[in-house]
Amino acid sequence: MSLLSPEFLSYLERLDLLIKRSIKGSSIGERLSSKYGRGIEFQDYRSYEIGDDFRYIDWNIFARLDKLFVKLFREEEISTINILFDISKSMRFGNPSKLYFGKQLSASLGYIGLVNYDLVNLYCISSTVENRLESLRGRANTMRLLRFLDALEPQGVTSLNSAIRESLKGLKGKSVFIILSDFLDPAGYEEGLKVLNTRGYETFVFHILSEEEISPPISGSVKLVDSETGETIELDDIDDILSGYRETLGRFLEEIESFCLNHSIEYIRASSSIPIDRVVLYYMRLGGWLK
Amino acid sequence: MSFLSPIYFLFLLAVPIVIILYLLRTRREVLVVPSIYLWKRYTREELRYSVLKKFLKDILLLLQILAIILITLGLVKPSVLSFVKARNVVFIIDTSCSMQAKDIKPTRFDSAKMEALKLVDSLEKGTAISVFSSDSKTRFLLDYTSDKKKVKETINSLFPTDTEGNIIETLNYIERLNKKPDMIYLFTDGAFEREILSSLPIEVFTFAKDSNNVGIISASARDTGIKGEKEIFIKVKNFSKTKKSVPLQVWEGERLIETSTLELNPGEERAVIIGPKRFSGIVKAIIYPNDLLSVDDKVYLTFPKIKPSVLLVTKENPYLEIALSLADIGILDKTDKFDLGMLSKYDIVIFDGTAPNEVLPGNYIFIGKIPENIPLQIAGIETNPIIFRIDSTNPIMRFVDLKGTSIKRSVIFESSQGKGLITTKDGSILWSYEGVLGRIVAFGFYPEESSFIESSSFPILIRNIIDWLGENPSPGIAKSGNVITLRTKEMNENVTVTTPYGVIKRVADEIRSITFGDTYKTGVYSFRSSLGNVDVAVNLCSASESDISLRIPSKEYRERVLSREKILLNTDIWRFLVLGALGVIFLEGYLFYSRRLT
Repeated sequence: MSLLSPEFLSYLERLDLLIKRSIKGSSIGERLSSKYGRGIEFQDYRSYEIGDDFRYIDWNIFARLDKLFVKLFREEEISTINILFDISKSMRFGNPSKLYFGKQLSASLGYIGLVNYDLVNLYCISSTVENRLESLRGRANTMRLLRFLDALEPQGVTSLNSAIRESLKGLKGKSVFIILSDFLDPAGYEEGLKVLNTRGYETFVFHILSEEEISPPISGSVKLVDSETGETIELDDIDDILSGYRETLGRFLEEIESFCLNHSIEYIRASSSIPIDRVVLYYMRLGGWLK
Repeated sequence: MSFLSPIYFLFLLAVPIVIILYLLRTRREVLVVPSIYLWKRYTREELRYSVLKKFLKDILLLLQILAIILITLGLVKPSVLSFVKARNVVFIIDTSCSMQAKDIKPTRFDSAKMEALKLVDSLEKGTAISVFSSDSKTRFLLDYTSDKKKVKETINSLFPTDTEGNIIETLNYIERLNKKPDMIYLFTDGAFEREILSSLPIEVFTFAKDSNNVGIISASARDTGIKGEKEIFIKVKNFSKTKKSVPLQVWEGERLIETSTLELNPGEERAVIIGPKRFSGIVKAIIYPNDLLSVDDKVYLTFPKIKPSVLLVTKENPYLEIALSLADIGILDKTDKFDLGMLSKYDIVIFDGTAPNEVLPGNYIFIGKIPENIPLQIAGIETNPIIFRIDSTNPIMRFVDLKGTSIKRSVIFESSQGKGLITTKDGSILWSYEGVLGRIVAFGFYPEESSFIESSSFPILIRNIIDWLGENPSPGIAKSGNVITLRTKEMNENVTVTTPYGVIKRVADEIRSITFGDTYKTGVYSFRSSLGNVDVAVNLCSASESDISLRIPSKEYRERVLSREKILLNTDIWRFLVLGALGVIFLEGYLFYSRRLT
């Protein structure tokens, strides 16, 4: 329970994930489906056909027009929220660490899903799906979710494309994907996100940055070791090239942002140093992720 | 660019050492970061961050390397091997006789002249050109001028002489000039003996192809001892590389007196003797070798004879008069009174028992008394002097025998100059002098007061003295280019010189002589004065000039010349380089400490 405070949880209970695309679930739930069926929300009329249920005939229209019309309703189905949480080794950096910040985010979003009776799947990814917690529904699973997150340790090398492909196996219907990662993947992220987009998933990307990535606290001549691959790079006079590095970082962030914008993917980035309540209650609401 | 001390290039080894130290000095802090992906991307995007750029960025390392390079350059003393910027150039045109050789058409000289004119045209505008000609004399023809038209006119006005060349003398002369030329252009056939040793930059244009020449390298006439008879010696040399059959003709006036054919092997020289004979007038020897140079194919010899005019100042001396009548005298005047003005009209003046206080330069015989201004002092009077020594080698004493001669009384002369012809134990009693005052013979005794007057040697002595005093100072033969000096009867007398190239008027100087130096053409020079006509033969007679081969091979010349075209100039910039290095080191120090402070 150390991830989120009770007070913060009480705030989260009032929030819901703002899903813009119509979902296609497997069973009846709380969210409007793209299908017509036995819902309570009126959608349209159509001419009566033999075999239609008499209960849906609009008799008032029949009285006026002397024609039989049947009322159509949007079916309400259960939505699945898939949280892809990058737990690669690079996530252990930052203060607080990107991993801890990701855990808080996952817990927040998962909790929001649970209290809104959505089906919540949590996939912990690096180069593949390292760990998973599937089919959580209802607030009774809150403690399970939090304990699961609490136990996570950074591991593996980031490979978003393969991890996304791995997580898609066995998933049915149209649902929501929330990706929490630092996106420091030399192989890129574009292919995975495109797959999600083409399969009709509503995708949310949360880009977690640490302060040491934004302003590396290094100077002089250094030998940098990659935390995931162990690769090294030797640099001299870091002070002179920091501005160049920041420009590269800026271009990198712009690339992700514009990619997401072009593919109708919601995108938010934040530093792990920002308090989680501000991120969730302010940034996410402002960004239209939550309502 | 050359380096005077290239060994110091080893100092450049300090550069890799500095780089190695620089690399060793760089201790990198090892830091684990989330990912080096962005850093790699940055280095990939920023090409400037290459290894080379990394070094370039390190201004301190760069400055250290620059300082080492500057110090090294200073140590090796760079010198620029460059063409001398010729602002002032000197043209020397060889006008010596060998330049008339026709192995290069039309002649070597004409080709040299054309080449010189071409070079004048090719020189940069503003180049100051001075022109010299060089033969037996160095002629300074034109001072430095940038007027090319004037230079070309001067070169065009040149012609080859029949004289020996003396390029070395010309170069020495130019080296002594205050305004040293930046470049000397020498146009010559290379037919000179010595190597060019000039400290000044010089480019030599040579004009010589062939050595086909036979020349008369000497000609002289010698007395045989028999009165009036002489022998002519002529030496002919074959300078060509083939055997030559050379016809020789000797003409006396219009009369052919000798003819022969000389068979000469390559390099062989042959002497031909003509006579003994009483030669008169002009004798001409000609060879017909069919070669490239014609000037040395003929020589002239003249046999002039001028009988001197004599003034005898005496009261009465029949012995002397008889002796003089036997001598070879043109005019003999006698007087007992004289004034100095009349003395200059005679070649020889004899003072018998009298003498003026002072005499002007001339030829004199003093008997018994001497003037005060001659370099002779009277040491005393000796009675019955015993003759101690007779200088029989002197031409005056030739055939003079004084055996058994007794002298009653004689003045004893003392002199640091002149020669004692007859000396006693205390001094000379017959003395001769040749110097600024002319020629003088002084008798310390009166011949009539001695038994010598009755001796047959007396008229011989008088004749010898007259011959010596009246001797024409100029022989009948001279070398081309040399000065001919002739005596005249009067001061400021007009002398007409008929030369092979025209008639020239000259005026005799104060000591009744003319000097004539324009003997640059071979032939007979006729001097017409009040003394009559004197013919002087001017000949080349020079083995060095007749040898028209290019002594120094042209290739060697060229190489040597090329090496002189470029002058190794020690630019002497090492001080600036070391100063620059110091500046760089200070700058590096400044940057180093300013970085540390920030």
